Amino acid sequence: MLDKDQYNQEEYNNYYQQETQGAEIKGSASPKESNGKGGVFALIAVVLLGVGGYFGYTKFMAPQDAESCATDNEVKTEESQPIEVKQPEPSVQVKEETTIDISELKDAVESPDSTQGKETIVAQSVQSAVGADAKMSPEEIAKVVQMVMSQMSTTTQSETPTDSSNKENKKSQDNALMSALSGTDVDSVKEDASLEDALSQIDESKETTIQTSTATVNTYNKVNIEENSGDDELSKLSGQISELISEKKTTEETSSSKEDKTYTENLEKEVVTRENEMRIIIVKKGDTLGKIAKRAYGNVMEFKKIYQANPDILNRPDRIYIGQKLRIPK
Amino acid sequence: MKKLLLLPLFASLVWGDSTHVVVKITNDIPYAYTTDSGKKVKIERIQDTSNRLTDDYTKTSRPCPPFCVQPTKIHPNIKNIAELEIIQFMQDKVSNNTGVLIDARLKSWFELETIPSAINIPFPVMQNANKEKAEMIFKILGMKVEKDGTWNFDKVKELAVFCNGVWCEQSAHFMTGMLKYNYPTEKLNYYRSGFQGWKLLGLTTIVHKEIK
Repeated sequence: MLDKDQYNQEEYNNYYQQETQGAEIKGSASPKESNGKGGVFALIAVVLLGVGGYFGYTKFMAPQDAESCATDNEVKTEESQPIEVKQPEPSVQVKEETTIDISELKDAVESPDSTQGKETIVAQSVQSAVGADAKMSPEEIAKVVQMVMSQMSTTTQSETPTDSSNKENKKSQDNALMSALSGTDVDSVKEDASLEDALSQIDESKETTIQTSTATVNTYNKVNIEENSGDDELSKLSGQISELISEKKTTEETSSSKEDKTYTENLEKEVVTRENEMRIIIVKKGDTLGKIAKRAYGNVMEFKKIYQANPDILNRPDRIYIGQKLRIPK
Repeated sequence: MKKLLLLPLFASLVWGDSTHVVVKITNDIPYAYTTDSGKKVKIERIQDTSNRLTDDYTKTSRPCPPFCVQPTKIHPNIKNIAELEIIQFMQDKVSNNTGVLIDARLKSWFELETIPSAINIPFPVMQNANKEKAEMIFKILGMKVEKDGTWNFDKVKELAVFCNGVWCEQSAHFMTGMLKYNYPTEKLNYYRSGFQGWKLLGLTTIVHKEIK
């Protein structure tokens, strides 16, 4: 039975042995030899880098090959089957510049006059793509065919006409909405008279509403309504309760226990905190964070406080936009 | 003839309005309507998909006590409800005056921001109410006093009660006061996620007192 200490000792001995052996091996080479080896390695590395760079350039940057990496529909055989390519005994000799055009392949497969099976057509295409002289085992061909078939099915799914048109519609709607919401750069406003007119109509006492082509978007989704202003039953009920509360206030204050009073006091303090947290200003034309800080705190340098309080709105302290709502902490 | 020409235009506007909603409430409900202080209010979610909570209700940590995490259930027989049930409650109960959405927070909290159609009964009002005051409140909520002086809760309104959220015990205090005078538990619903839960979903809120 191997106890813990014995095991640890053995492990330590093994480790020590490896370390000393390593030291011996390292020590066996004379400084001169090691320097010479280093030089040779460096030379090989430089040559390899040069060759790699040349092939990289010809593969990715050369204009005649640019088309081969232009679209997503084209699958590079080298990329799509990394396992086969990286195998130590490369039985698959893939042409570096060979590509399989999925769209062409799809057309061939889906054409009504194609009498052969889909997989057969794909297999033929794969075989021709990797080269006639390639030595591929049946398993490897099957793998590649499977891969290409799955790629085709995903492209087919993603290219359903209704889906793509919906996506485009949504995208354009999103873009319109986002461009409306993101406000306008201060400098560009000067040249845009219509926007300037629109901005002059912004009522700062109300929530900013941005009209888009199809909907009105309220940034904070808050609706200002005067309390109990209606004459429906709910408003009447609310009014009755409010009257009751106001006449009851003195009684409830005297009857509250000490604990309840403390809780209520804490709540009231929290309201004050919240009111301060909620204070927001709308950026006007010509505003900078410094100017806003000067107005809010009387000190330009306090702009950092405002910047830090609006991390999701402000990316840079020198980039604010007209109509932006900034939180002004106390 | 003019009406016939205008019909497709109107239909396209309605259709366009409903299909444009990017952030719906549920897959089937893009938005809903209720009333607040006599005004029709559209309940929808903020449509800006990059929106984040920035102002209030982003705070994670308040001292506990008093702002401690509340137990799930206030009472075994009081039903817990969530946002969809609240919207359903507005449409089924509040609309025909058989239910009331109660904001149990202090008036100052209620005025700053609340859920559409909610009315405010601050929790201390119920917590410290004597029998006489409780009777007055219950009468407003539909309770009848029988000839022998017993309280009849048969036609009393169903209540959905909320406060700030899971860290807020104002609803619990309010409910305790209601139960002290035997308000039927089956007529009480507890929206535990409260106003913070409502805000987190970007749902429409009502401001009675604006801060400038």
